[in-house]
Amino acid sequence: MKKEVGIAIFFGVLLGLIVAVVIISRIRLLENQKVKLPSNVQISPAVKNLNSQVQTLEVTEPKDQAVVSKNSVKVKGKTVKGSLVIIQTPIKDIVVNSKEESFSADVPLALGENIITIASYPKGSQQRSQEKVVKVYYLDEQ
Amino acid sequence: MKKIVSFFAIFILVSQMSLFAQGKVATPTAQENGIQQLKDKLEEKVVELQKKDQKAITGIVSENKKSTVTIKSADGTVYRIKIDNVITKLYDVASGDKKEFKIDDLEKGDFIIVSGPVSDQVATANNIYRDVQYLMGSGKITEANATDFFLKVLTPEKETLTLDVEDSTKRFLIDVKTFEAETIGFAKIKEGDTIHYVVKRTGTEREKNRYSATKILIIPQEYFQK
Repeated sequence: MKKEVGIAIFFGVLLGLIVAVVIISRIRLLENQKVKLPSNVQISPAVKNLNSQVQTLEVTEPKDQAVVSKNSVKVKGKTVKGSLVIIQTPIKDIVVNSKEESFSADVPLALGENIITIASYPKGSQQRSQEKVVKVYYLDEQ
Repeated sequence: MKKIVSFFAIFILVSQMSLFAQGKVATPTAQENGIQQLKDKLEEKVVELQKKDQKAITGIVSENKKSTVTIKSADGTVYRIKIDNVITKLYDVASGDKKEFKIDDLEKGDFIIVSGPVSDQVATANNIYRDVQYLMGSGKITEANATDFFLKVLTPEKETLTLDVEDSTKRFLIDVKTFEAETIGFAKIKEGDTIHYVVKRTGTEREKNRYSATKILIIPQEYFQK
C-alpha cells in the first residue's frame, strides 16, 4: 500500500513537471513570434488633439454668477495670440492687445448686477471672433 | 541600603502616580479644548460654505404681495421671494448709491437682484437690490442712418436691432494701430463695422428690438482686413 502511494506521488510530480515545461516553452515561443519594429520606426498617435491647434476663448476668472463684496474683479483668460480682446461692462470698456495667449485686466464693478462681455477678435478674417458673457454681482452685504 | 532602595521605589511610584493623576486631570481640559476647536472649525466652515454658496437670483417683478414677491428671470423661471419684515432689507442701487426703500415702493416691472437661500424656486430674501437692467451684445452694422441717428445691427443670432444714438450715448472707436478707444461722432460709424453696445432696458420701449444706446464701441472693418 505504501509503495503504491509513493509511486502515485512520483508520477503526479512527474506529470506536473511535464505540464509546466510544456506551458513555459509555449509562452517563450509566442514571445519570439511578436513583430519587432526597426529602431528607426516610430508609432505616432492616430488622433491628434485638434484643440491644441485652435485656441478657443477661455475665461478662467471670474466665475459666472459670482457674488463679490469688492468693487472690482480681475478678468483672466486665454485666447489666440495677437487677438484684440474687448472686455466690456456697462461702466467700463477695456481694450487689450493680447500679445500672449493669456490676458488679464482689472474691471471695476457697479453695485448690483455686472454683465461682463469678453470678446476676442483674431487679426485678419481667417479665424472667427469669439465671445463669452459672465455675470458678477457686487453686493455690499452689510 | 534597603532604605535607599525603598525610598527610590516609593519616589518613583509617587511620581508616576502624580504624573498619571495629572494626565487624568488634564485630559478633560484637552478634550474641552478639542471640542471648542472643533466647534470653531465647524463654524468657520459653515460661514465659508455660506459664502461659497451665496447666490443671487435676478428677475423682473411680476407681482408684489408685500409678504411675497414674484419675479420672472431672463430664462423664464418664475421665483417666489419670501419677504421677512425684520430680516429682509431693500435697497435701490440704480443710481450707483445704496438707498434703502420700503416693500410698498417695489413695483411691477422693476428689475431686482435677490440674495438669500434659494430652494425649489422659492427664495428667502436677505437683501433685495433694485437695479437698472442692462442689455449688452455685439454685431455688424448693416445701416448707419445719419439723418435719424440710428444704427441697424445684425446680431450673431441673426436678429436685427435698432439702436438710437442719442446725444447722451457714449461713442467710442478703436484705433487699429494703437488699440486705444477714442470718442467719435456719428459720421465716423460705417456700415460693415463691428459694434459692441450697451442699452438700458426700461420696459417702456415703443418698438420691439429698438433701444436707446447707452454706450457703443466700434471696431472698424479695417481691423479685419489684411
